[in-house]
Amino acid sequence: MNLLGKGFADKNTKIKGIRRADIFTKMAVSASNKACSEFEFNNEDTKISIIVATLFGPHVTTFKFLDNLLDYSDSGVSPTTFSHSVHNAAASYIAVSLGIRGQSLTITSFNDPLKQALILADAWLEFDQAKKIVVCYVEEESDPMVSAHEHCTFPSYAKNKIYTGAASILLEKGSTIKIPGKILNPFIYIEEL
Amino acid sequence: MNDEKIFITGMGIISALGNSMDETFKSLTANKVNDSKIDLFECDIDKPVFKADFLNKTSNLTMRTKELADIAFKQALVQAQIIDSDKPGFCRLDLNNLRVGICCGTTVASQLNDIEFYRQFRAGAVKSYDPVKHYLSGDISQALLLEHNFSGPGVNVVNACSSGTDAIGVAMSWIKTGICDIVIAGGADELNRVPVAGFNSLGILSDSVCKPFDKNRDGLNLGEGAAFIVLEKESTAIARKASILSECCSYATAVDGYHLTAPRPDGQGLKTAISKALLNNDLCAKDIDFINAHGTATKNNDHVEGLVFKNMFSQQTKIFSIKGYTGHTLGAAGAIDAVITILSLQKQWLPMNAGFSQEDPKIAFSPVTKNTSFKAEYALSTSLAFGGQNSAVIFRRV
Repeated sequence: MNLLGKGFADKNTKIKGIRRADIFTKMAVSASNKACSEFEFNNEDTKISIIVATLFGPHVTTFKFLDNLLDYSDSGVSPTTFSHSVHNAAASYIAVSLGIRGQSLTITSFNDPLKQALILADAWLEFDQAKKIVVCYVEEESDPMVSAHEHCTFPSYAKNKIYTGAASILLEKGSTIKIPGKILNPFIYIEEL
Repeated sequence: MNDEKIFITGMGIISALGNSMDETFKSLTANKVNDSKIDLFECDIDKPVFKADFLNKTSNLTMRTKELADIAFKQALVQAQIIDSDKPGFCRLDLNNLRVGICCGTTVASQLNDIEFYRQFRAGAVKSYDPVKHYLSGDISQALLLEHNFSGPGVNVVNACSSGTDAIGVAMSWIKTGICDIVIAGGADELNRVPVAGFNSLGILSDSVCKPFDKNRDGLNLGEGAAFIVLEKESTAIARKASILSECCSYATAVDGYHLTAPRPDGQGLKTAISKALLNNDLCAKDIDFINAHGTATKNNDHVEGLVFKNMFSQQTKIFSIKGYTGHTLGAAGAIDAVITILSLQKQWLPMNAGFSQEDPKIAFSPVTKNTSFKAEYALSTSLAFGGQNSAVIFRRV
């Protein structure tokens, strides 16, 4: 794979046009827009694709939805909060923002999700299922999960500290990026690409 | 990239239709609609659901998704002769030479949504972190890889309601590019208070049993279940003398880039996904003998699918949705659809589209209205999802 662009975003990111989106999505969209800033995608081109990878997904929004359930009732919850708690909301917003009409996939794994995304991106590019792919890694820290890390024995592959932020790369077919054995910190890995 | 065919050599399923392939087929031939009330958790919403009845109620519902996955996964491995039913710990594959991956679609298992745990956390009085441990077991693909000593890769697809279909697509990519020889792909999801409340808030849960493609359809019913299929490249299947159930010919997906929860009204994304799936295998629309539609019974979904099917396929192509028998099983739905599609190809038989009685003039076609025997070679299964996902997979009878 060859790198065409990269972008980062933190929780303070401001992005126009997606006021209702949660921080998780805003970070993912902002980082992806930066990664693709030198490209304009044609809406007719169905070979521009997205892969979003995450350990835990938008769990801050899930907890906000649980706040809804506890503070109101099952029938008094917010549809907006619910729809943003769905893991692939960020990929959907990236598609709208960048005009992408190809494949869109959101994956989770407690075992090196960015590496899994890169393996798949490489396969799609090799197989000509896609000619450019936005790969976005996004994570958001939450109090319950930080507490869980302090009190639970996480599997070895899921022990790493959760960082808040998003990092996106735009890839095409090529051979300059080799998939590493293990990505300990996705943000540092993408920074160093 | 290898040009070998990809064969299906094992399948497993659990849903409101039953806890095995045999039970599922028996329920379908009898047109059993096993809807029930919500009784797995406290909830003030009174809507019909489709429950997998044979599981014991567990104290933590996140584990329930893994239990569902375990049942369907084991069935698929047994049928593929990868394990024996009486010796599930012994793998017949030469794992030194075969690369085996797992890809599972889900929605609920990917969220730490234990309400009691969160209530205690908010109050600063957490009694136990067991719910977090249960959530960690919800990384179904990694858990199953470890349990079976498979090399991987293993990922969970969280593309909402198309996750099960997209997991099959990931599996095909891994096999075609030589990452894996065999992949067990599917999906699992449980009935859970969070999606019940969430879908209710979106106003798309029906008060009665759902009516896919019917003029008077008024929403979906949630369901639970799991299904897995064993995909393997032709040479591997032949070398180990596996029984071949079907060919997995083609998969394609396209995102609408339109709206978070509504499908694109002109159905362009779905049309693109189907067209690409056909083209990938040098097929045309008239080659498709039947379509197992997403058919959730919401106004929007069925309308968009109907428009696209009417535009792309002839009157001879039979169409049905399984949702009137299983409810909408979210992350498992695409995998359950795949298993039912392969089963229908094997049996050369389709069940009537439960819940349908009156044609919608805006759709202008009727799905299968009675149990039907027929000749079919190719079948298409479609999935649409939150986020504007549109996915299509094509199977061939062998």
